[in-house]
Amino acid sequence: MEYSQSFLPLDATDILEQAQTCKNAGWRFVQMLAVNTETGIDLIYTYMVPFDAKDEKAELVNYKVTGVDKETTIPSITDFYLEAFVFENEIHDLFGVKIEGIAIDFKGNFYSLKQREPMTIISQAQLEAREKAKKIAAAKAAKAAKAAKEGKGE
Amino acid sequence: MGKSTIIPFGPQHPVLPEPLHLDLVVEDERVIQAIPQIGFVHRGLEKLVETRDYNQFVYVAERICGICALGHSLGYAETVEGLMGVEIPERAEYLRVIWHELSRVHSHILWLGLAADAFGFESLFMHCWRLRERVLDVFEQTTGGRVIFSVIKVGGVERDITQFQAHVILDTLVGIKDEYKQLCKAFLNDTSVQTRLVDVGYLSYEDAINYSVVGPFARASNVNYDVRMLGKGGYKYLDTFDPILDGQGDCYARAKVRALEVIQSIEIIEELLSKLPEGDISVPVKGSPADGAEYSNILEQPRGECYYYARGNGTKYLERMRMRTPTSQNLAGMTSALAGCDLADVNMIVLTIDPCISCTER
Repeated sequence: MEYSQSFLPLDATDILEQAQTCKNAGWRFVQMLAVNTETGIDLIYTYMVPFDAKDEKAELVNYKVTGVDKETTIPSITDFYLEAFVFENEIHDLFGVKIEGIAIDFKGNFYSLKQREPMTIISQAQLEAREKAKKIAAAKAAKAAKAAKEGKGE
Repeated sequence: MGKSTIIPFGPQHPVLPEPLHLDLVVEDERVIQAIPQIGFVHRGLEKLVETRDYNQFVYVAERICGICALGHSLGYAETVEGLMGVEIPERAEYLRVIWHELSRVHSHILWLGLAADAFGFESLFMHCWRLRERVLDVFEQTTGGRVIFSVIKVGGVERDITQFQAHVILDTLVGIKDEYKQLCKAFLNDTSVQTRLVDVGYLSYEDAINYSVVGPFARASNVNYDVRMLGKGGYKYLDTFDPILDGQGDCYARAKVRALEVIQSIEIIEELLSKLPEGDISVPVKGSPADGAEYSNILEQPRGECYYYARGNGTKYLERMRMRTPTSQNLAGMTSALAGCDLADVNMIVLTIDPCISCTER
């Protein structure tokens, strides 16, 4: 069976509608995750398109909501997929994302954490590695530009 | 109607291998509702991806859980290979699946022993774990470790299996199969076992679909889904693969599915060993994942489908690594199976989803 995956953009205002569409179409909810970025929190909702053993194709679809900030409130999808309550509570505790309407809401007590929103803190090692990678990338780009210029000059 | 009482179950309980708390809303001796709470073994392992490069993190991934150790290192390595577009040699794919299926054998036999211990069948528990020791011996001979193997790496595997070791694995599996079938007869045909498991903790097919449950928990309710049927990784070399299903949906069905999956895994290992190709066991992996690159992966661990996600940022450290484990997916289904059960059956129902809380919390 051929297996494929895709990443599709999703607007924060369409999260509930997408969840309802997937539920009505019989899609299985796989997971929900968050990624801390410099432009906000990205949320990824993953669903699996239903398939039969005789089908030739299985597809995993990841819907990505980008740039969620601390002021934005995300609607819970637990009305459609109750199993999402685990991930929504986890994301609230680890990333500080406000999610309203979670069916089983632990109000920030799902994990006992020493530090609030620990996944939003970027470590020093990560910052230094990113600086170094930027310098290497800039040096490579400059070298390529110089080589291109010399090539044109010839 | 009786008066409702809330009885706390866990986080410390004799039947729980790991801490899990349930608030059981009980009327007389009947559970009306179960509200789970986790968070007792959260170690923040996903955060460690920021300070361990993508090669080092495989050793963190396999320490998420002692039972699913090889599964997590495999899932992680496959995800990073997908992220960086690395293709590993065929022999490495075979070896990974052989070890992964051995891991499934030891995990399911471990679970059968725990289940036997939970309903007081101590001698069956000891026989199961004695049998499991032979699988751990195979792991020790082929990987150097009994629980944490450190044999999977990004780009392939660290160790190879010699011809002699392949014979040892086959001989051990033949020995295990015969004795294991005897254990299964005791487990599945014993009247006292059936009294504790049959018609207990029923989850219908519709509820299993609604709650998106995965793994043997789902297949015991006739949900025909197993990631191995997608033919990913080394599983594409199998001649055929059909998930083991049972339509009863109760604790007995879950035990039966796991019991039969052990035989299936042994047959998979025998098939792959019979056609193990020659060749390299790894390829060198250079460079770093591209900035903004992302990849998702799924793997059938002993407890069910495990989802992995990785995102690169141009450095040797991943921007994000995420593991969604099967137990976190099955918690909602477990609360549904608990509703309406007797208080005395709670421990068996909780155990039959094969909870791995270390994996759930990471």
